[in-house]
Amino acid sequence: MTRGVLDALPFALVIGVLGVVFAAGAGPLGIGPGEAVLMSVVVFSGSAQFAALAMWTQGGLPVLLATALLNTRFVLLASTMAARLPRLPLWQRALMGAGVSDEAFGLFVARGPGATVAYLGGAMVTLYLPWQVGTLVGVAPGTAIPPVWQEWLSSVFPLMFVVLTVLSANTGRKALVAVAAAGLTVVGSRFLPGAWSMLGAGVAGGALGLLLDSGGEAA
Amino acid sequence: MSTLAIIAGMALTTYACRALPLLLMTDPARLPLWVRRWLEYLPPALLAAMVAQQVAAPGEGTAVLRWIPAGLCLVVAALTRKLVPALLAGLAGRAVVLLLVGL
Repeated sequence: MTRGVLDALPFALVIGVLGVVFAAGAGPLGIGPGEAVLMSVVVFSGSAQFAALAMWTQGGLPVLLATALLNTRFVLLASTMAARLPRLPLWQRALMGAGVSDEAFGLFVARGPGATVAYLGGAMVTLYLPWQVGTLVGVAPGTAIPPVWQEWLSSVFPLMFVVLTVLSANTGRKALVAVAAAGLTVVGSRFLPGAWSMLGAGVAGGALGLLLDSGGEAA
Repeated sequence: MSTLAIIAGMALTTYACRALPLLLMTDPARLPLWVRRWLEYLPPALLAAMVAQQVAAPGEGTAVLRWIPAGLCLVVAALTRKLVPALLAGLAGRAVVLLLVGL
């Protein structure tokens, strides 16, 4: 558990700051402080909540559609987690379901065999809380984060995922799959919305792994 | 649609996507072998796709500012397999690019 908390700390700092940015952006759109806090507590998704802000003026339906599209990846992330978790009581699974995020997934798979339920739980709580604290700070009047800080902190995010990708690609074949999926995403993003090309490339990359496996066995 | 209704809708779709696989897939051993293998390959593929989407997406800073820090970070991560040195390498790369190019 402690290890999960420690590993998640760099993410937690950035998530806290992003929570402030989210809440500060919600007010001008007419989302009340209580509503912004409620959204962070029950939705807990940076990508969905920032997309909601971006589309807020277009109405409820576009916001919900964008959320649904962005969330489809959670099905894949949670399925992978489920396949690696031991038998657990239903309530524990229901609770963990609320904590599934890109960051928790990345940490969990990068940890390899050391990724226990306690590790995942510790990481999930460490990722959940700063989003709430950040939102609370951000709805307070007069809170602002200097743009330079914002830029540096948000540049940490892609770098974290670079490292988690490398750690999760712990065999040559997985590394090959990762490179192929990255290439597919870049090519696909010319024709499809980013979220679709990312999902398609992930699914196809997994299939490429299967193909390489069957080729390897035949040889 | 009221704000509360939108929040409730967002929360429901998000939780459903996150929790249903965990609630339904209680015994992974019963899954077909190819599905289990596919799920083994999914993490590096999805994570790499997320990175590529973030780094390749136009808009946030110039291309140099996104590719060089990510590239440095990747090399150090591959060599050390440790988070902190790789992060520092990426951030240092970003600082150098900002200094040299003055973006």
